[in-house]
Amino acid sequence: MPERLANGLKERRAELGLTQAELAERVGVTRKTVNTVENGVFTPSATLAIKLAKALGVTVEQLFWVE
Amino acid sequence: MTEQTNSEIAERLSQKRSRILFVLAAIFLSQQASYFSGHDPARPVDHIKIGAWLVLSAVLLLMLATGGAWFRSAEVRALLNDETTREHRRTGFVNGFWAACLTAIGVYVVDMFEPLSGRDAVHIILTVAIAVALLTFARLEHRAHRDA
Repeated sequence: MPERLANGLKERRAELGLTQAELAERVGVTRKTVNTVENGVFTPSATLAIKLAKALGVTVEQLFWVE
Repeated sequence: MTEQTNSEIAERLSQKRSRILFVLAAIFLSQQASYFSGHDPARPVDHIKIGAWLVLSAVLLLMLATGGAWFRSAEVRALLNDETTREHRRTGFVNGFWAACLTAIGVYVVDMFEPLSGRDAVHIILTVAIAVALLTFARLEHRAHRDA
């Protein structure tokens, strides 16, 4: 079965009470990008993954994992 | 009126861009109908038609390569060309490349039976490549916005 990169972006964002637009603004991308990462449609680069983890106050490993 | 942030401006422009690209692709392809309905290189009107196609091709290529919004600030343009957009554009270029290769093979085969001028061959290959790249990019962008 092919591996895929899963993430806890939506849950962590909800915990912090952030909207997709607010998170997008913090990491310097559009809401479309945050949404496609959350839905697993788009695999982010290492740079974006680190920025997202930092903005959400967790490590990259806590935010992304391979399934 | 509340002032929009760069993110909001980029979001709005990005949605608008995906819609405009579909319209431009339709205009670009409809131009070809008049080109292939018959042209005479000696007639001035056909020079204008070919010139218009060439100009539109260059504009579309430039738009695909840069993402457009040329008169916006650097911050807005950076947001408009964020990671997903660059990925969608890359997929558009890859599809455009394959479409150009397959069309070139098709033109080569057709030329064995029905000779084509060099100009017509270039016209067909370039038109297909640009249209496929443009439509792929527009479709991916539109889908990403729709799901957001």
